[in-house]
Amino acid sequence: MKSMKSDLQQYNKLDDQELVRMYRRNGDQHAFKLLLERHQSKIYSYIYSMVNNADVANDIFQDTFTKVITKLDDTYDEQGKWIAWVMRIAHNATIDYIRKQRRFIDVNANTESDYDFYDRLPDEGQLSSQEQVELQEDKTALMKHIAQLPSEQREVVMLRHYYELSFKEIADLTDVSINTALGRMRYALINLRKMFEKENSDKVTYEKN
Amino acid sequence: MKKIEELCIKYLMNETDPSETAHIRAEIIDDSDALIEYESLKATLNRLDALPHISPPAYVTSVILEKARKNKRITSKLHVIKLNKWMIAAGISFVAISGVIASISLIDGSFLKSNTLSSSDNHWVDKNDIITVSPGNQTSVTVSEHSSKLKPVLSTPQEAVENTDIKLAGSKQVVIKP
Repeated sequence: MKSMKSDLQQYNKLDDQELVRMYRRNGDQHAFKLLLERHQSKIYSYIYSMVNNADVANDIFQDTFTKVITKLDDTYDEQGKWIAWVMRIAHNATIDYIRKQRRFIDVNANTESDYDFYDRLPDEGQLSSQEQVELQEDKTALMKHIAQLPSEQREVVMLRHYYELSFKEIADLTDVSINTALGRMRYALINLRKMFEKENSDKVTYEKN
Repeated sequence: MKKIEELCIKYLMNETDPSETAHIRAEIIDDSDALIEYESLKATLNRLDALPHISPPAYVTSVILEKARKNKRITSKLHVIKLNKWMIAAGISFVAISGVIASISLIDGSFLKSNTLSSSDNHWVDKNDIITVSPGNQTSVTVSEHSSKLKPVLSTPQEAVENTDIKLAGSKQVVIKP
């Protein structure tokens, strides 16, 4: 039991490249599990924020990792960052879905899925129940605003937020120039600012009444 | 204004180069509109920090882990099959090549012999029996035996002169006499 614990501690010290190598060469399941645990939240959050539907996000996430597993031996070049390679697969799968479904997405629908999604948000244990409710409301409002952005602007904001990509990396990933990526971020922030202002003014009006 | 907004965004995201940093800092200090824009964009970006990081449902991750486990098992089996295939192919190739060589040797026994000099072939004679190369680099040319084959060329002195004429284009004809 003790040795197993120390084994896991050893695994935690390894970087992504080493874990990938261990899974690739020896089929090491611990290595793969750790890779998944390290990055699942970022990748899933990005996919979810782009499609705004938990069921679809689950499917895309699963498809992404199925591709990762099956293509790892043939396609992945160990010189590159593993997470960047996975992100590209996740991004392409997400964009493919959005392109196919563009006309049918209703960002305010799927209340059932939203419930499912917010059920899994991290627990803010140290906050009072009133504060927790307010925080959840803020997050809900924020996600709805984000969902209202055009997908090109949304993807820049999400790639920056979840993957902490530079504008150059975003530009490379989305096949646009750096200036276009920067311009999209600018429009996204201007749009969000307008939404936040409207939300604040609506709150004030509601409180007055 | 667009340029200032974009510079503000780059600055807020730590992506400005030193000259851009100096420029936007000066703008924020000197221009109140730029300062308002900067603060407003900063507040908007800060609100994005509240975007949640969420994990996929447990059943999704367990499906993925199961796939990873099965895939590696299949891949390692495929490796063994591939390795066996290579070994079989190498064996077949070896047997085939050996067979071909053996059959050629049986059909024509002189196959190898014809391409090498045996110890008794101590010199080589050309087909016209003109040049003989003997071992020890001793070379003798026997011309006398074949001198009868040579025919004398009969020509008059005048013909000989004509044969040695050289004509140069565009110049006077020069006759070189032997």
